[in-house]
Amino acid sequence: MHLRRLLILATIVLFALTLFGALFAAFSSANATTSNPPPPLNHPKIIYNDGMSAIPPRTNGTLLSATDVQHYILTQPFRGGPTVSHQQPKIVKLQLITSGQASNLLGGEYVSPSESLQVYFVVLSGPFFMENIHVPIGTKIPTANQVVEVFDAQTGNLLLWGIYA
Amino acid sequence: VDKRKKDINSDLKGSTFCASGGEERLAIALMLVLGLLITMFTLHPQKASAASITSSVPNTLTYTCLVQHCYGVNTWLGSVTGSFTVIDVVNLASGDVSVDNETWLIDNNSNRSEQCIFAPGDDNNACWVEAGYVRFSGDSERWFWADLRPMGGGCFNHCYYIEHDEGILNSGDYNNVVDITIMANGTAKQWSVSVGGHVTGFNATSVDNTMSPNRIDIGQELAGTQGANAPHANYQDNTWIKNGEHYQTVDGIFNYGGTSYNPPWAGWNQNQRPSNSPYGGVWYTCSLPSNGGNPC
Repeated sequence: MHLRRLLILATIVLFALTLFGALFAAFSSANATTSNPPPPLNHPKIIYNDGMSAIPPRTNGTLLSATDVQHYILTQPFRGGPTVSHQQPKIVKLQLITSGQASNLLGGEYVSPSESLQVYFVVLSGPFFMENIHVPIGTKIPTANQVVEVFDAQTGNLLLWGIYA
Repeated sequence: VDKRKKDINSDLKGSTFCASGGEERLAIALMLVLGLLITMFTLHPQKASAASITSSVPNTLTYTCLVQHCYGVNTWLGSVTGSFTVIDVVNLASGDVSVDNETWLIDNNSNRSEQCIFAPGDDNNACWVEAGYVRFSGDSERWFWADLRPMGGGCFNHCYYIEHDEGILNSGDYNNVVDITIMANGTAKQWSVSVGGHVTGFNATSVDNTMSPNRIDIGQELAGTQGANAPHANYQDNTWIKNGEHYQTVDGIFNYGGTSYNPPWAGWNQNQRPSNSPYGGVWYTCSLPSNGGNPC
């Protein structure tokens, strides 16, 4: 008789311990603070500030010509996306100006760390389907009638591109 | 007669004892089974919230993310003057258009008092500054940043969305992290953009930008219809900036773009939410082929 009671009691205690252990484990898991501390800040050795390579520069170190730029534009796709018709875009404007002047033409947009850098300011007419632009969630990808590209006249790098509506 | 009564009593007791013993054993067995079941259910690993969204995905990764891009992003609302996050740098395959890992500092322009438009006549929505790394079709991974700034009424002369693509990532940048800060720099209408990879990075400034940010997004943007491959990347150390730097302590809004079976997949990595972890939570994204479950 006593043995049976002891057995029942032991089972109840075992059950209670199992339940407590399980609940404790679940509680601990839901509120885990197992995050590792953030990694230390990077200190990159190479700081880019000159866009991405695009038009091959001249080997003699002189500035690119308007023809060089025109050739590139008419043979390479616009980075923001294709024209809706999949035909070549039309060049509306192609100017050799300073980056400061280019910034003024873009409502103050950042172009280069140097205001005096010689750049080609190019406006193209499409319309373009701007599938390559990056936008916050919920924003419909636009079609742009006119787009802009700015190239470093020395290196041929593409400094910026975008919508110029 | 007494002997028979004793025998009967004895039999009755015996049968009672037999019945009691069976019930006890049944009760014990039930309790043990119950205990095991409780243990199994409570210790079962919890899956990230994104898993519940996925239903069926073909083995070959296809998606509908062209006219409207697809996203796996988290959104925090509230007035800020900047943001900071640390993103894993992984190799990306662009698919037919592009995929990126990035962060946005956004002015929701809720009362439409500003002109945040691509072109005159377009919908007036948000203005923003964004930065991260991207891979376009036919290209390598690059750092980039972009802005859409509030313009004057009708955009005066023009409206502008401008993107700045920088140099390609160095091999030493991969399998490390990139620190991305977008914040007011103390000069009126200027927002500093700092992107620091392990080996390469850039600094720039969004100039003449009158936005008043009230939203921070982190996550992946996927554009195109097929072929992207973006392995698991974490976004940690998530911080909002206003009168100092503060780790995110609320979970924000899980913002999922695209149809229910589209990538990117995203969620809180191993349930490390800002509300229960000390360093702003650990968000994750990926776009990978899948048999129907979350492949991250």
